[in-house]
Amino acid sequence: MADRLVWLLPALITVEASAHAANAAAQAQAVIVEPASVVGTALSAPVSVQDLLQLILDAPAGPATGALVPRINSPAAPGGARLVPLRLAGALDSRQAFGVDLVAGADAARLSAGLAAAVTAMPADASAPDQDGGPPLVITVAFN
Amino acid sequence: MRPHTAIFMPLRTPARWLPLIAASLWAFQPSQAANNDTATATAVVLQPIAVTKSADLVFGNVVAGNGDVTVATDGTRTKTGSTVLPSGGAAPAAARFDVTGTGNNTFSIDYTGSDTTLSDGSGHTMAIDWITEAVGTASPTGKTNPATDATTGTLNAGAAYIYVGAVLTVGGAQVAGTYTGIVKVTVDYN
Repeated sequence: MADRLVWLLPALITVEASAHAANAAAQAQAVIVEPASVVGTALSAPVSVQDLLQLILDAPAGPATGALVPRINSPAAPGGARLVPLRLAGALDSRQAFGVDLVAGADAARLSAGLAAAVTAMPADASAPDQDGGPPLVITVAFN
Repeated sequence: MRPHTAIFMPLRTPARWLPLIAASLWAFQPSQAANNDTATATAVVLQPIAVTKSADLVFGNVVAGNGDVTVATDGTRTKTGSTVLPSGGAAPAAARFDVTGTGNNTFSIDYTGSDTTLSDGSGHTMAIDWITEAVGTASPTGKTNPATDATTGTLNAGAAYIYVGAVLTVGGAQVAGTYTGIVKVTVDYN
C-alpha cells in the first residue's frame, strides 16, 4: 500500500508552470524635414556667408520652397541658378569677404510650419557669363 | 517460502493446554518483512512572464539626404552620408521593453510582426533595420550593429530589459513628413 501511495504522488502533484508567451509593441518615428530647417538654427547665431554657401552646396533641393526661392539643382529653378555651383565653389575657395545687406523679402516663399528658413543663391544677372568680374551672387534667406 | 509449522496434537487435548497451544501457535507464525521507500515530489510554480513597453523609438528631425541615421540602444543618434541631423524636434531615444517573471530564469525573444519600413501613410517609406539588446539592468550598452538580434534574455531577480534602436535608410529626395512603424517583441520562458 505504501508503494502504491508513493507511485501516485507525482500524478497528484503535477503542476504546469505558466508557459504563455507575452508580447508588446513600440512605435518608431522619424520626421523628415526640409533642409531649410538647418538655416533656422544658424540664423540665431552669427553665421558667415561661407557657412551659408556651404549650406547651399550640402543641402539637397526640395520642392517645398517653390519657385520664389529657387534651390540649387531644382528642376524648377530659373536658368541662372544652374551657373551657381561654379560660383559657390570659387567663393569658398577664395574665402573673400562678402558684403552683407539684409533686406526684407516681401516675396519670399512661405514655408510649412516647423521649418525655419530656406537659403539659396543665384547670380544677380542670370544672362551674364560665369567668369571673373561677373555679376555678384545674390544669397536669399527666407524666414518662416 | 513460508516455513511450515507442524503442530502435533494428541487425540485428547486437555482444555488446560489450549492457551499454551495458542501461545505456541502465535510464537511460531511466519514473519512478514515490510518493504517501503519514499520519493520526493517537487513542483516550481513560475510567475507568468510579462512584457510591457516603457518607451518608443524616436529618430527626431532628419534632413533628407542619401545616408543612414542610426539610433543606438542607448538613444545615441548618428548619421552617415549627406543626411543632416538638425537640432530641435523630439529628442532621439531608443525603445524599451520591461520584462518581468520569476527569479533568474531565461527567456526567448521573438520579433515577428515588426515592420521593415517606416511609412508616412502617403506611399512614402524608408527601410529600417532594428538593433536589439537584452540586459538584466536598465543600462544599455549602446549597441549600433543590427546584424545580430537579441533572441534570448536572462531575468535578474525577476526583471530584464529589451532595448531597441535601429538604422534608418534615408533617400536623397525623401519626401518631408512624419514616418512611423512598429517593433513587436514576444517573450516566453525557455
